This record gives sequence, structure tokens and C-alpha cells, in this order.
Amino acid sequence: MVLIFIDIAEDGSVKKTSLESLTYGTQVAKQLGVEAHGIVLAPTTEDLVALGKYGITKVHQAKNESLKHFDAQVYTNAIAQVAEQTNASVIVFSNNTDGKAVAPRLSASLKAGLVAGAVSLPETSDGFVVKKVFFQEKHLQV
Amino acid sequence: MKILVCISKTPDTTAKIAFTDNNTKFDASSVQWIINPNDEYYALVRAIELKEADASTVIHLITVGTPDADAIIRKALALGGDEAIRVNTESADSFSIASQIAAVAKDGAYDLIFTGKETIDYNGSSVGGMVAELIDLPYVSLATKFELNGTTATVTREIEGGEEVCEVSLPVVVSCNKGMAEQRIPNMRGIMAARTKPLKVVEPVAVDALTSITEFSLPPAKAGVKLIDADNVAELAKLLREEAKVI
Repeated sequence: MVLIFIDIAEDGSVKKTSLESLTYGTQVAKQLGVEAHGIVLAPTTEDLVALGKYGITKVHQAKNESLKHFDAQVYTNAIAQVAEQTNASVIVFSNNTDGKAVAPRLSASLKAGLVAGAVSLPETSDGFVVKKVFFQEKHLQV
Repeated sequence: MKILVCISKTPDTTAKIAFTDNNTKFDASSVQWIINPNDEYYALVRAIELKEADASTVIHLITVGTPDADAIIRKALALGGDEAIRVNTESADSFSIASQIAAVAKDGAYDLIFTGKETIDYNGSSVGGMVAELIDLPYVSLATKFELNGTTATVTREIEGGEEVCEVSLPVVVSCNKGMAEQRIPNMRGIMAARTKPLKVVEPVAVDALTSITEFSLPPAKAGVKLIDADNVAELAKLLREEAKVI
């Protein structure tokens, strides 16, 4: 299963960068032949069912006062719990300020490899190979 | 107060980037190495400012690398660190580097751990968060301002479209961004003193990297500019659709 972190803006709407993550994550899930789920932690005014149009089949929504304000440590614990319960094999974040705060913590917590700033869909024929930017876009590494 | 500042060596921004071994390794042969600017300008200098405000503060520097990192760590000591630690191993991926730093930090009882917001080569922005998780500390990323009041820090951090101010109790891990401090040049006294400051070499803990680099590649060469007559909108739309494939 591919788990996609859906980032919520102050006004309760889904951040635009998360729509990119949803598209990316569902493409990865398609490649792997598994389902894609979303995870929402902050309070939202959005109709989460409508996010199904991006290809996700389920949204895990947490409702807890401690998640109202962003805290990387609290968010990491919540996502790790869902990732373990659902046996997620790939977790997708936007490469934004929240993603940069949570993804490394989660990677260390789950002992899962982290590719920061992926710029391509993975090559999955032999492992999981992703292109990322190196040297501020001057050079690429795979 | 004890501060640990994480230092990495990165190629100079003007270095010519090339690869060896069938594009699987970075060619370091003709590269001029520098302290990662985010570690130096923001993390280290802010730590020095905190020491200037409280003389009892002790600053330790840590780097993960082989002996060729010693010149870089000595330069950092010349700027103002008290003591340096080099974990004697090749730096592999972010997780293995963070694990080495975490092992040292756990024993060091540090009140503050500063990293740069990212290295200018791998642009990962990952080590600070991983260290925080491995030693179970709070983490404030992309900090642009850091003020200390006893054991509570007020940190301003970058968020999308603005900044956020948060309060956090020490100990804490902070990744330092532009705005934290201004670059300093080491003076002659600092350079001379750095020669005799302790540089402790410690052996690494056993840890497996979680990722590896399979290949490097250069970005595609930039294509030339095609000029389309301002009246020829149809041709522009055709090229955007069929050639650039952006619409």
C-alpha cells in the first residue's frame, strides 16, 4: 500500500502541493499494483471523499486535539502508527516545509529509506530506484 | 550549556562536477572542499553568538568522515568551536550519518544540537530530523531566528508563505536557515588557536545505510530558444503542445 500525507492549510483546505503528492502517490501505487491511501491529521473543511478522483481508495483521518497544530514529533508518531497498521510500503510527502520536518523523522522511526526531493516516478523492475536532484538541480542522481 | 554543531564538508559551489566508475561515483579528485555554508554561516555562527552571550557555553563540533575532513573541521574550530569530534567513517546516506551523530549526541548530554538546513550537494534536509528521532528530542526545522531564555527557546521557522514562531524546551535539535546569523571570517588568533584545540576521533557505531546511489547523470543540455512571431499564436500553441508537451 502507498500512503500519501495530505497537508492541510491554515484555512482547512488541502494544500496544492498535496494534490501533486496524491497524483504521484497513486501513480506509484499503480506501478506497484497496490492501493493508495491518504492520511489527514489537521482539521479540514475539505470534502475528503472528493479526493477519490485522484485515485486514492481510502483516507485515514485522525481527530485529536494534539494534531490541531503542527508538531513534527506528534505527526511522525501518528503517521508511523497508520503506516504500520496498513503495512504501507511507500509513504509520499510533499517536499515542502512540513514534509521536510516529518519525513526524515518518520524514515528514522520506521528504518525506511528516504529519498528527499524525488523528481521521477520510481523504476521498480529491480528494487526501487528514484531520480532526485543533486547539487541544486545542476546534476541528477538515480 | 552544551551545544553540538553538525558540520559537513561539501564541494565548493564553483567546483566542476564530474563522475567516475561508470557514473556511479562522484569524482572528488579536483574538488575544493568547504564547510557546508548552511552549517557554517547559520548553525555554527549562531552557536558562537550564544557562547558570546554566556561564556559558560561549550561548543562541540561533529563531522562524519575520513581524515580528509580534518582540514574542514579545523577551519570550523578556527571560527569558534571549543572541541571537535570526527566519527571515522565514510559518510554514506543521511540515515547512517544521523545514526553516527545520534550515538555521540546521546552520550554528550547536549542542550542544543544545530545543523544547517541542508547540505549544498545532496540537498537532503534530512539529518537533523533523523537525529532528533533517534534520540527522541523535539526538532524545529528551517529556523530563521533563535532566542534563548533559560531552558526555553523561542524559534522562528520558515513555513509555506511566511514564518511561524514556536517555543520549545531544551534539549532540542534545530536546523538553521538563512537569517539565523551572518557569515564570519576566522581571524588569525582563531586560526592559531584551532591548531591546538582537541579533535577527537571516534570509531563509528555499526549501522546499515538505507539508501544507495546507483548512478549519477548530468541534466540534459538546455535547448536553444525558439522565437515565435507575436502574431503567430497558433504556431506557439502547436509547439507547446507537440514539442514542449506542456499543454
